[in-house]
Amino acid sequence: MKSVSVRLGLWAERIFAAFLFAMGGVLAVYGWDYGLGEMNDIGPGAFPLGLGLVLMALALRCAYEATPEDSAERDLSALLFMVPGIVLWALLIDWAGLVAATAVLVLFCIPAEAKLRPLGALVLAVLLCLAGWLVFIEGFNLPLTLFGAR
Amino acid sequence: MSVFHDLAMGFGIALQPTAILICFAGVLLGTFVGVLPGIGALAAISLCLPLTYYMLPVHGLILLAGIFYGAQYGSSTAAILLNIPGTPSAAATCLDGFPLSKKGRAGQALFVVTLASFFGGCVAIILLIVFAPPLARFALSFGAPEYFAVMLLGLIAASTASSGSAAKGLAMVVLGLGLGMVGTDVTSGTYRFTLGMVELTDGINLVALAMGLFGIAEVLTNLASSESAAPPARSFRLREMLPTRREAKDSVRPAIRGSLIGSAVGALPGTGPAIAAFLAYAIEKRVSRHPERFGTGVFEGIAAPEAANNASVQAAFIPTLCIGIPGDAVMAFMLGAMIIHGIVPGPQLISEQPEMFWGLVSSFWVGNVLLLLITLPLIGFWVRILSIPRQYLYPTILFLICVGVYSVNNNVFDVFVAVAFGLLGFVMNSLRYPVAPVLLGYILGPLIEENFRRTLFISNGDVTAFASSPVSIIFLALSVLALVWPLYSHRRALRRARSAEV
Amino acid sequence: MRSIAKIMAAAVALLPFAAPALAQAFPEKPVTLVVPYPPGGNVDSAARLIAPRMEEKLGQPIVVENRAGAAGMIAAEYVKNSDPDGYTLFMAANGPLLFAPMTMNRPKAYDWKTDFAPISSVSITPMALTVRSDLGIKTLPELVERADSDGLLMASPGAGTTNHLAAEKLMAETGKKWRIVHYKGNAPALASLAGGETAFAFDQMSVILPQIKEGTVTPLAVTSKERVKALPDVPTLAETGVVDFQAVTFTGLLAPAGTPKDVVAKLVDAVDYALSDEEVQKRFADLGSDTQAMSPSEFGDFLAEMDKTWRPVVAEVNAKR
Repeated sequence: MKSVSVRLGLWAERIFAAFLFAMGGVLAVYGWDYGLGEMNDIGPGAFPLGLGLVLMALALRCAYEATPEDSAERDLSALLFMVPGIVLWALLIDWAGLVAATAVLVLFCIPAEAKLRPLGALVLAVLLCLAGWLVFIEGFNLPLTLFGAR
Repeated sequence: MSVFHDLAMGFGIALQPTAILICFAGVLLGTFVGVLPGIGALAAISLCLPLTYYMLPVHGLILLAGIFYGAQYGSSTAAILLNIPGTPSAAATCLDGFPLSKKGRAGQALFVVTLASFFGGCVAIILLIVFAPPLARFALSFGAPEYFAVMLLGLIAASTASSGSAAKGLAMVVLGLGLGMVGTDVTSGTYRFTLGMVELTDGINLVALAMGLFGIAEVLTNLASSESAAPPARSFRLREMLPTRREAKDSVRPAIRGSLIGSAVGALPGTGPAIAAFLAYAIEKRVSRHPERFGTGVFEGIAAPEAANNASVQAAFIPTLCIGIPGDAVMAFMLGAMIIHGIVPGPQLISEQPEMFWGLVSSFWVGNVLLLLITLPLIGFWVRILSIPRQYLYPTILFLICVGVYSVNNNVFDVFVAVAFGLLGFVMNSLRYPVAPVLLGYILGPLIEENFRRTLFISNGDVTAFASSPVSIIFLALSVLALVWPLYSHRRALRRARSAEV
Repeated sequence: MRSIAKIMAAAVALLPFAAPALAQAFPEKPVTLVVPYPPGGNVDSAARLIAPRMEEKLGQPIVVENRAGAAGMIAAEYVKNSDPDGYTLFMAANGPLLFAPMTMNRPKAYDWKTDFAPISSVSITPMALTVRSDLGIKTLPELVERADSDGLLMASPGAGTTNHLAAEKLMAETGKKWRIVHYKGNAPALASLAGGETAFAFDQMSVILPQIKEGTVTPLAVTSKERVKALPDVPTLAETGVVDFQAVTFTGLLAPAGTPKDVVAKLVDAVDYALSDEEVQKRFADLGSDTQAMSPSEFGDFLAEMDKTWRPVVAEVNAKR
């Protein structure tokens, strides 16, 4: 698997600060909307509004402080495969069952992890399913199924 | 003294072979669920509840309680070895535990936290034995202003405790506080930031948040960077896992302070072990002579929170047993279990059912000793986890997190939440934003807001209500001190550095 | 494993009858009771108490499944969307079944009348209205009067709970006003009452009985139709002469709408069987509840009456926020 490398520099810091600023904005705007209440009955919006304003200020401060030295090289291939792998696990678990969901999760780990060979992955998937069945289904009685629909 | 007589009676019950066996089963199962990320004590306790119908009531409670505090012992294992807290209450242990592992001191760290947990447990049990009823009354005297003052201190102490950029640390605290606002507002019943999703009306799930920010993010970060995880241990003999004299000495005072903080926090209904652990960590860093070394792997930074969270789960039995008011979800479950067994916890419990109370309390001691005996030999085994090639370890961790998060509400929505916070945590790790403050803000935010608003509601808008009792005045003063102290110590350090140059 | 063996055995035994026996065959696999709360509460305990006896009657394992979240709506929608075959049942209570969909303004919200088929109620839990003993208040009229004039505070375990709604109805019917402090659940609300931060509260029997025994609080009325065994001297709300309504929390079983009549009938039998067990009754009594089996139509009427009583109150509360 070729690595998808990204150098995180000032731009990444700025984007994340902008994200925080936006989160602050959401808190503040909705807070205003939820109502500030009275002194003897503070409304549900007062805290979000206050927090939002503080977060916006701190986000600006973070953006201002950011320096290029903070940059680091990141290989995103793990992210690009493992995250969909977990999402698929969640989508599959209820209707396809533990075996299919886990197989897919491990499958998606292969391109993310150079040293994981298909054979090793197969063995791992089998072991996880076996352990999952023993511990979680038989042991903890979780409402999971091995092969979907009960 | 009648305490000794009562205790003798209690041990008479707790030391019966059946009771010891049941206690052993409980703490073993607890350790196991504690180690597994995501799966918490509640899952194991609800699993065992039907079994207890066929036991003597006191045996049933010994089993359930054993699972509960056993989980605290287990939860630090994954926190130290993999930077993934087994339960959210071990998140504070990650801060210095994982750096210790990276330094190759994983075995020693596990050894220290085991002893610290044991010590914390013992301190809380002694308090439970000697002071339970007065402590319970003290806890009851806590109203909204007192809760507000204590939580505020926790927030301030902890938010100034993260290393690295102050602005980034504070931004993360505030982000966490904001995340805590999601869900149904307790005071008015308004749905806030639910984005129209019915799953969010109960707020963001704590386990999903913690497993995403710590667990998934950790796996992604490790795979994405060239930095290595903790090195595998070279030897697995217990003798080589012993901390040095220096390391042991460093851990004693933090463990004592942590135990006391944990006992106090645990006795307050509505708090919980995670708050106790964070608070102990923050205070330890505050009183330390070398706060800058926190976060790089110091034994003080793991002894304090681990002593605190274990003390807090034992102390949580104080309000549950003495006034019938459970401190958290697990305690609520225990309370339900007691009632089903025909035991009504409340002010009358100690006088009406002394064998029940003293038998259970004595079993805590038995359980803690058993945990010590179980956990110490297991250290060598756990450290071996680090020798598992990462291409097998990481998929396994992801699998365990998925199942664990799913199991909390048997709902896949929480898994999606965990993924989202995994991504957020990855970005934060990459840009050196600390993750622990988010979790802390998330836990404390709703408590601070609720009690702030409740104070003003009850006082009808009178601001002086915040300083209406000695307890709240003391804690507000401490909060101010916690705000000012870093500035002062920073200046002092500067001055010292300058005089050293001269 | 055992369940698989059982299914196999059942399948072999039923082989000769094959198709025509299908209707009689229910249940041929485990039946799931979906609980809308995490393990530990009243509703969860109720499900776990009846499950073993229902198992005996039905000859199939009963699985108790907790699908907590969103005030119980997640569990309700899960059952609503399950196959109406009697294998997935909703262990309902007031909040998830009646109040949650009224409170939450949602286009897809469910309606108990059209989306569920009542099977039977399981238990009824009355509440007690208690006031802190040091205030010296002995009767309901006295409390209502002083709450209004002295500004006494009431503790509630959350906005929209039966406890809260009962207070709103009491205010509406007496024309008196007081301030309600909401807490997150029964435990902190009780702590505030016992600690003196608030003055009075509606509480479920199991929660408040120890405090009554200790003398911390004085019971003024119970909210059930008849007096409660544990408190024989305490009048019902109607007997106080102030108001006439009942405010109880119930648990009950419902199937998705469209479940075949004969399947429902078998489940009714199983619930009846479980609730007639003295041991089960005793355990419910320990929880502060009375077991109460009803026929599907009685249970439907019961729900309709609850709906009629509380819908206007919920609407009133919703309008205020």
